[in-house]
Amino acid sequence: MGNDNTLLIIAIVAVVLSAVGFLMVSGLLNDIINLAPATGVAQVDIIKVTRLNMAVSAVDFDAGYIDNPGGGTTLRSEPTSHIAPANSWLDITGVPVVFQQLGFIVENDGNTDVDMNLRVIDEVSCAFGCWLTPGASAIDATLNYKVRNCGVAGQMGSDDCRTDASALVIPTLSDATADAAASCTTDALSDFAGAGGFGVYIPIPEFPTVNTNDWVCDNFDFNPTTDEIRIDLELFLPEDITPTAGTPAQNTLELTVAEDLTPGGDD
Amino acid sequence: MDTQKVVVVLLIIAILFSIATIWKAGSADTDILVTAGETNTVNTVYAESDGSVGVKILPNPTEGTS
Repeated sequence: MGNDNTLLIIAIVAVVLSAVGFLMVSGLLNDIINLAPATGVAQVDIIKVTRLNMAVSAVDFDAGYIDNPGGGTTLRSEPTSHIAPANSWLDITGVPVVFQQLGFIVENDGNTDVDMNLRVIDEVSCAFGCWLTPGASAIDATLNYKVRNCGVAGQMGSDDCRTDASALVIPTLSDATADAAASCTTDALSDFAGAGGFGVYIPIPEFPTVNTNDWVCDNFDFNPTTDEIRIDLELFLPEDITPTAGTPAQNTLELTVAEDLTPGGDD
Repeated sequence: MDTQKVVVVLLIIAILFSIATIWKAGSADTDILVTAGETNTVNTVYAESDGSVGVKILPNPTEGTS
């Protein structure tokens, strides 16, 4: 009888120890007696950074004269029909000028989407209107631009943002991943709303400062596969256009793409 | 005899608790909690990039020569 009691006690002790062990391992004991869990916290804060990079930042139509009496010449920063009509933009020896045929290539290298403005300042610190002086015809030069998404073949046509059929050297872009879809969307606030969308030339905004509600693209994406756009320029020069008096040998416009900081922008 | 039956039942319960303990220990979650902090909404960098477009108009050599 005494042995039975001893066995009984040992069995009860075994059950209690097993039950307590199970409760501890399962966490139920902490819930029962309200012990604080042993928890460590690793935290990281990611700061939003916006960064726009112009991989191609200069369009140079070079030096020439217009050989199209009564008309003018249209110069474009793209290989297709970059001089129209043909042979209307000649160098001093009478040979068609060979100029830069790449438009601006802009990357969003930050970690957040941005709304992007475009502003234009000429070298004498006034807006585009005083860049070149109309001649006797009083026809002004015009400057148009168009935006294309590098990842949309239907917009790019035979052009590209990473290779160029005309053998021009394209600088290495910041990220190695070519775009696979649209980087830039258009909406009612974009310059391209109502103008046929991207891939169509429209007049360039003549504002010396960032202009409210007048941006190149609303929501310029930052993901590596959707963060590149190409901006091409189309310059029309009437035959009798002349450089503005007192300006240096080459007339230069400065174009700035900038993050939109107006309320409602993706700041 | 009854005591022996009780002991056997208790031992079986103890064995079951032990098995459950071992199983639970093998699949226990760690108590280390990793959380990502909230994204800082303060924009610290203003993005801007400059480009240029240049052209030089030459006098037309065919004008005024005839």
